[in-house]
Amino acid sequence: MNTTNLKTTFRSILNQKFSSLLSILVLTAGMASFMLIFFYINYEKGFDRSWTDADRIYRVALSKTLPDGKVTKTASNYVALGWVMPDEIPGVECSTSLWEDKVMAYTTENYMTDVRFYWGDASFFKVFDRPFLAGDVQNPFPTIQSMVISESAARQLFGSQNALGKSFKINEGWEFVVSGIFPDFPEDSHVKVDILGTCNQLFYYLGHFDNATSSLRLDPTVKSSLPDASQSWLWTGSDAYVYTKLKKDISLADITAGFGTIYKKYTGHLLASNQKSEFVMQPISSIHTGPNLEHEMSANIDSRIISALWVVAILALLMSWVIFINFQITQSVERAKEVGLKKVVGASSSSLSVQIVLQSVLMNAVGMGLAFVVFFVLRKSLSSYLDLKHLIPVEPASLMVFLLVFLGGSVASGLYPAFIIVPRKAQLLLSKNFVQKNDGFSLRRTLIVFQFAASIGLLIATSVIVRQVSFMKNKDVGLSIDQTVYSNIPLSNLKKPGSAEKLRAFMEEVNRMPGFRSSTLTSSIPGKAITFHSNQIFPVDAPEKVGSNYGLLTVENHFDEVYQPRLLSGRLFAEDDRAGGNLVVLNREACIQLGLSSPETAIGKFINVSVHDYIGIDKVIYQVCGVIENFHQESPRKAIEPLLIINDLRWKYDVGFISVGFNQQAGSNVLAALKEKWERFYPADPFSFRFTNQTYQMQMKADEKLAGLFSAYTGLSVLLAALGLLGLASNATRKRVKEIGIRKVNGARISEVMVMLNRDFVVWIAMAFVIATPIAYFAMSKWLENYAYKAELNWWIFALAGLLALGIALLTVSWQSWKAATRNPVEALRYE
Amino acid sequence: MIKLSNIDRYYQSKFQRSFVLKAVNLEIQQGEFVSIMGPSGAGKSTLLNIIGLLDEPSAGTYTFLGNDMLSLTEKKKIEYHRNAIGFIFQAFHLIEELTVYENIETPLVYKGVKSKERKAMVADLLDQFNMVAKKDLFPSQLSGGQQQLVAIARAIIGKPMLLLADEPTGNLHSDQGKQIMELLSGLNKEGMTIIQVTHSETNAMYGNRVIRLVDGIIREENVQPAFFIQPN
Repeated sequence: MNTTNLKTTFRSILNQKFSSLLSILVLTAGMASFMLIFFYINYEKGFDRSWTDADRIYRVALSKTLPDGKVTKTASNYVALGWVMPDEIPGVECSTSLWEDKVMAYTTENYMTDVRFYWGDASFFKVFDRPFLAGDVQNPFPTIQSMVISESAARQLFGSQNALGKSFKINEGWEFVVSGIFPDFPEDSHVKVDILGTCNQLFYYLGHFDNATSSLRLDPTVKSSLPDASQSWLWTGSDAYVYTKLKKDISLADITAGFGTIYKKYTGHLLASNQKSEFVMQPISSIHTGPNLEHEMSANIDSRIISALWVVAILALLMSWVIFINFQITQSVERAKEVGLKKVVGASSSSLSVQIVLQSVLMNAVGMGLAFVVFFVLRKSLSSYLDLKHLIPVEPASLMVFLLVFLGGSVASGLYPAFIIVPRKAQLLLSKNFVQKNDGFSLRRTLIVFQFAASIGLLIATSVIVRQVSFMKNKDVGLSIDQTVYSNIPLSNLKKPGSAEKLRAFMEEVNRMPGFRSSTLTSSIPGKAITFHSNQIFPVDAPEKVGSNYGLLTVENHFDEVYQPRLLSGRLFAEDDRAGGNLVVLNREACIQLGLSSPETAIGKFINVSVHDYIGIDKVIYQVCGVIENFHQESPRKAIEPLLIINDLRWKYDVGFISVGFNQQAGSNVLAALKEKWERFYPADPFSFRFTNQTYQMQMKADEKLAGLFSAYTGLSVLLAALGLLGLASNATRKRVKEIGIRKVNGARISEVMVMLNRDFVVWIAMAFVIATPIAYFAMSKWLENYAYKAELNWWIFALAGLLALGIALLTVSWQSWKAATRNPVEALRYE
Repeated sequence: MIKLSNIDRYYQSKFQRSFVLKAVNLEIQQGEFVSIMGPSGAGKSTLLNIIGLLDEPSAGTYTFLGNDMLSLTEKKKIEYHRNAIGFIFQAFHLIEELTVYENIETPLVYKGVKSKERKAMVADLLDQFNMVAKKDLFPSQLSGGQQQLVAIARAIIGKPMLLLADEPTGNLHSDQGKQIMELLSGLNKEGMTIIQVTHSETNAMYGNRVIRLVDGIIREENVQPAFFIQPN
């Protein structure tokens, strides 16, 4: 290669400033958007891969077959499973159970709410290798009062002081001493822990803590407070996360065989009531991109979404190269004469090819450089858009791979134009018809049809997603949640004598404030999962109806005043109904599941209820006093479950919710007014009232993010397709300039010429539409299967996407057609 | 029929105007067969284009059948192209993708003539030009003379009053040229006004009036009765 080649290459890039700039920008957009998505996918797929021996760590999920044959799959499992696994199954090296608790932690100066708190055991650090910053990882809990906390929890509770050996309290005043500090769990771990205690400790404190004096009785003779693992109540509720590390070279079949003995030995009481448990070994690195089970510790990303993201990322990259090739072909065909002349004077094919490829590589290199800049700029925005604490990680190795891929792509996108031109005979290249006949038009047309098919597909997908999100956001909840706020009950007051009365007094004060309607206590609020479940519920006169899984909501008698459920028959709880009394309200779904023919006939029926889910209700007979319309406890993504509402003040982990209804009169200072009252009643507890509807809408956030991401990429893809079409349209019309001239001289109107020119493009878009629609239909029906309540796939979504693509295409093409059609025919027909 | 007075056509460059046509005065009566002659670059084609409404003069007036042609809207111009003016070119300018039949039919389509009528009219013309057998061929399958016959057929199928021919025989050998010229002369006898641009004295003789253009100025006009000089 000599310098002339380089010089002519530069000149030709500069000569065609507009189209060169456009091609480079297109490449930049394609490459940068590909990198963004790639690293994001990489981040999601990289979850839990960095643990030591990650390939040997598993989570044991629970798949439970209910008496009615339905199967529930939960991420959490029986708490005792983690205790017995190493003894019962020889292939298990160690295992741990994490029992979730709702906790507020505080010192005299600081406090921490929404703590990720678990009752676990020392084996936790054998399964998850986490070298301590302070303390001894081999003996993390030296005394019954020891707890280990994360680095950021230490900072939050103790500031810059050394936290080791310092004490803090949780909830009702249980006091603990920091015996170890571990580094924060990495962001790409689905397990995240702020404070870890032990189950042994939990049972010891339950037995030895005096709520009246807030003091712990220390009894050095007690070796272990853990209940015997064979007790059936430890194998009833699935509240604990069980993780295990296998010994080396153990096959999963050995473990599954070991589960057989556990089922027999410990779950007999379940089998007797016709419930079958099955433990599912999930490799830890597969959890985050697997399906979302019930009660996940943190939300997973569906692998289907990852595939969808892959598709859009690759489409963006391919499309940008397609457009680039389009531009390159146009340019190099126009240089056919130059190539022909060079051939005549003796240039070899290879040096000519090199020149064309060189131009492509040069432009790609510029595009790539810009793409890296854009990527590093946008990485921050994308990370914060996706609510990541840190930037999306970027590995240098992947960057090198990109360099190679992009380089390969740039050579490939230069080779095709070279292939069109260089092998031709010089005489052909010099003929004036060459440009007209050899511009790879049919291939390019195919590519454009492909691009538009992809764009139409994305348009359909995006509108379906956006519609579904707005459908979920606007779907009637069934309760009036708009003018309500909620908070956890004050935790520092837990189990204290007189705490219920104090709460009552607080609520009555709130009710008296102007603008506040009413307040109530419940075990859960809309937007958060129902906390109690049981499948041992049936009408007294029809025991065969047992089997469905029912949710259980405990409320007190002002529930209906705050949330205003729609009553179908009977009544809700009244002032005179005793808390803990035997009246029950059903939702419509429960009414159906219990086999009661109508809401009216349900009134007065007796229901046998057993719940062993923290709340202990054993074969108690309840009488139905009312039936209410179904409401969405959680996002419309989930089906409405059959629900029993009882008048009771018991809550999971003793943590219930206060909900307060207000009206217009309360104005904008609802929270300020509440805060003032709260601080007077509960100075030790942080004020944490929130608007219920905001919490409810938060459930749709992940879908909203997805919709946003898809919209952005759809926009990009449509833009790229339009650019590609623009190049092709200018080519197509240029080829027909003479014909247009002739037609005009023969009396064709501008409009007639434009119709003639645009007709072809309309046919292409129609083809793209025919290709895209069935694929999009299939993919989106699959996607919608994730949702219990969905916006239907209407035909007009498809029509709209098609029309939109057609509109954009016609606008793009018409610009060129208009230029061609309005030209003076004399120029076109001048004899050359 | 055509009246041009003081027609200028120039290109404005920074410091000077370069004239293509200067102070052209020309009157053409209905039924005339005018030949415009002159060296290359004399402005012959420009003059023809102005008459044919494909170009506009920089100054002067142009009336056609008493109507002012310089204030026409684009729409009106198209009406003239559809109904009053036909063109033939040196390079024939047939549409490569269309057959002979379709090429001839084109103006009728734009005029909005019904399909049945079109068929009859095209068939008539094909018959008259002895090209019935060639109607389904594409332009590239015809000789130059045949292509120009098709172009003439296309130009006259709409029965225009005025036929403009820009060197109609320039690309043809003499036998073919002669055939084309005889055809034009025949059309003129049937009453069609024809204006042709030509380099050839022989071809000019087919007309009844010659205009010589040099550097955009009419130098010479002579009227001669066509029958007097017409070669055998």
